[in-house]
Amino acid sequence: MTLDLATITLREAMTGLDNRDFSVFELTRETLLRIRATEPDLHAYVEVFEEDALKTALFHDRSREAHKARRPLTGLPIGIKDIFDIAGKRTMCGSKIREDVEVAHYDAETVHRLRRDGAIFTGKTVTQEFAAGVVSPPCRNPWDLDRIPGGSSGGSAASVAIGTSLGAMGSDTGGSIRIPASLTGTVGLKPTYGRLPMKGIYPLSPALDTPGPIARSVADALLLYLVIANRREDVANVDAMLEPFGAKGLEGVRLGVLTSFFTDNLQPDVHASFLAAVATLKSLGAEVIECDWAEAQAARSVAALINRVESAAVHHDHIRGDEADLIDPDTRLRFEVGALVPGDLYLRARVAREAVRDSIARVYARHQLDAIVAPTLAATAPRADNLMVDLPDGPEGVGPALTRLTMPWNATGQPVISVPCGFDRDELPIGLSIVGRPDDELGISRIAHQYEGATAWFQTHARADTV
Amino acid sequence: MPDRPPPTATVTAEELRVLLGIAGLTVSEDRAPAVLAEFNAQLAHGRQIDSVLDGARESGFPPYDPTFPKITLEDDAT
Repeated sequence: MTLDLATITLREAMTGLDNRDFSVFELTRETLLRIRATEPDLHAYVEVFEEDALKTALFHDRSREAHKARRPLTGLPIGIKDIFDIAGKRTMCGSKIREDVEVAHYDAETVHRLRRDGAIFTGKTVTQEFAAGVVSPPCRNPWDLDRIPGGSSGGSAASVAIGTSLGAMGSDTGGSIRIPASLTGTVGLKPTYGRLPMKGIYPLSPALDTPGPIARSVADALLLYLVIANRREDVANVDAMLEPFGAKGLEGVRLGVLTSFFTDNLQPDVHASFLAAVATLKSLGAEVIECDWAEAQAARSVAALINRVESAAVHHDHIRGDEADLIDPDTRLRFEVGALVPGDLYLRARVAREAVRDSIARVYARHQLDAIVAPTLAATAPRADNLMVDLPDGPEGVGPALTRLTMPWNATGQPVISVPCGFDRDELPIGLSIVGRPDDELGISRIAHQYEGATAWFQTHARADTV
Repeated sequence: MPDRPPPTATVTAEELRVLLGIAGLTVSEDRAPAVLAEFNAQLAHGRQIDSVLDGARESGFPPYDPTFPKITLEDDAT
């Protein structure tokens, strides 16, 4: 197997290592060289761990020579969003407030699990300040350097898209895994809220925060999810877990398409790609059922209110002290406004969260759905110098425009996987979301894998020569 | 006593100044309009959730459970 970081997936690299087509050191060195070549324009990383990564690579190669058993991620280059603690490294959260912060003493629990299973950390990836936003400056989109990668896990998604990591960790409070995955043509998996440990991850809104992987294929994303979920008995069985439903791929699978809200006010190319994706799913044997979720807008509002109030509480001291002037003005405004929301409104949002969860559960029960499919976003990547999104109803600010379709699933806490489903007229990626019942990460991955195998979107990659 | 406005009612610039003082926040004059606009946008979210609170307001504050409630087709006759 040729080591081509423009196209190789995590699991292909694993096969290449197993077959001795290349060593861990070679894979690591090539990844670091690619980082050096692309970072001046891409800015996906806050800090690159060249020396640590090469040392760890040599250790893994010597272990292999000693015929020690390979661990699930041995030697595979993984990026870590800079809100996750890595022992001995600073967690700066993209904020000037934390530029002089002491190094972390321990790995975040999810980072520990990746390290334990053999991952090599390439570095800390760029996040929007305190994971609060969708732009991720100064990182740019590898498909078009004049555009944003999305956020807040923008550096993770950009590095995966360009091949300066083969998988990366993100976190999702209002869409921060799925938004950059959709805008960079990568796969983003937001697991079920509340199931994965947040220990060692800087919080934004504890009632919503969810860590998860960004990867180049559904199988890669599932593998990383199984590792961070501590499902060690399953990591060797990813292929079996992704087997087709029947001969056509999705026979007997019932997929809901929501007829309003999620198909309203989409960019025309996004809408067309979504309809084409639904047609592909049908061709694979899935039964597609049109259904309505009247509470979708309320679900978005629930997530928005909880997010704002809790993030204001997390940053209580930051917005009231001398440090306030160090916060990006837009981020500061978010936190200040959250601090003004009355407590009874927050409590109403918490109660309403149960109501919207109940309402979506009824949609699944009424139509006996295995999953819901929807566009991940209403738009493709906006320009970095004009953070307005052109939509049929008129231009909208990048924040509300990009979180409109992602936040409802943070309110319900359901698992969602976003996969590439096409390109717009400017050759910018478009994402499709597959939304599962709680705890059904495997089910949505299995559906997404069949879709992936039936399309060519996953074989189209951002090219380093455009960077 | 006059009726108390609902917590989701749009606020004015003057009311915002009072709220900022209560919250212990200092916002310069040039930033105040943006804060006011964003705050009223959040209050609009509050009005959106009113539609799902009918009957739910008295249901207490259950601990979060990520699993769906058990619902059968028979339960869902409505």
